[in-house]
Amino acid sequence: MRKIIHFAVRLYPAPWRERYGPEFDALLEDINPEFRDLLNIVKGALLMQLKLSNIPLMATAFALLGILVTGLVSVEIPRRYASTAVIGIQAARPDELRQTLVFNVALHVLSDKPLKDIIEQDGLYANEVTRLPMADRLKRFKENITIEPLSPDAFKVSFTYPDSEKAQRVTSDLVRRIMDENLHATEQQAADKGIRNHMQMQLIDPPDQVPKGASLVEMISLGIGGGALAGVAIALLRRRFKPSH
Amino acid sequence: MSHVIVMTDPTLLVLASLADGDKHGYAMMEDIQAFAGVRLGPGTLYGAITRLEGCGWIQALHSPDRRRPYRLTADGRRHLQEELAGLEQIVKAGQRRLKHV
Repeated sequence: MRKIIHFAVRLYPAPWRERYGPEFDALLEDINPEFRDLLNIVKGALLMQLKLSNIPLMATAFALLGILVTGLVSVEIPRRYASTAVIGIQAARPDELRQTLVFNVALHVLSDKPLKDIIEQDGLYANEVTRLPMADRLKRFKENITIEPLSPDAFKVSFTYPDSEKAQRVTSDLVRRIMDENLHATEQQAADKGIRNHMQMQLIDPPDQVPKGASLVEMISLGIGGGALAGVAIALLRRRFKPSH
Repeated sequence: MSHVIVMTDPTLLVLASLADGDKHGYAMMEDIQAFAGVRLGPGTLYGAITRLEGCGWIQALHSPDRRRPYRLTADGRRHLQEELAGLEQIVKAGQRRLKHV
């Protein structure tokens, strides 16, 4: 502990240490410092740096603070993964009608019953079972699914979730259900009206696992940059508005 | 009175500690704990000492030891009296109002 305390004292500005260092060391020898004293010394050193506006040290101190904050935020906020698949469409139909057909198929797959089945089967949102009723979990599930056209001949199906494997499994399940539903609709139309091949779907890109949002390295880089800039800005402001007495 | 007095304001506690005689850092820390029940951390204590010396309300005395004692200056004594008078006024007003509730 004494070594760490000795290091913490070095965080004080040099002119301050020159004036108060020996008596401060003597005080630390007398009190047998604890962990709370270490925090108190670090806080005192930062405040003294602020008071004396040492720009490089302020930038370094705030960059370290930035690393700490962004590191904690990265650990606290669960990582999320987006699993995306691309489905190709083949149909002798105008583009607008293709999108309508895709929309109808998706509407059927995204209805409450099949989605409830997926939630239960894959144990989605298991941590929130006691807190959120099924209706709310269903709403969240729908919010995490994206189905949108990429071109007249393709559309993407995507699901975002904290567990990468579950995200991939659910996207595969949704793709399978969409393709099955399309096949079912095609057969139904053929049986009812004698129309065949109203729209064919084929998987172009199978579901992947892509992390969503900033990575730990990106977050920490942001912390260093943001912290250093904040430190310089505060030091300059302090210098500009320093009281005259 | 130009600013709000906080009863655990470290600068006020240091001034009150020096009111009955010169003391070095450790003696002030012990004294403050005894009369106010507040343990000032080393960083807080020396932050207050730095501010008070900068204002000219306390002065460092020469000492052969590293444990340098501090003394309340005339300005510091006057400032402490003003602060305590303000504090007393708040205490009296608070007690009076509590009796009327």
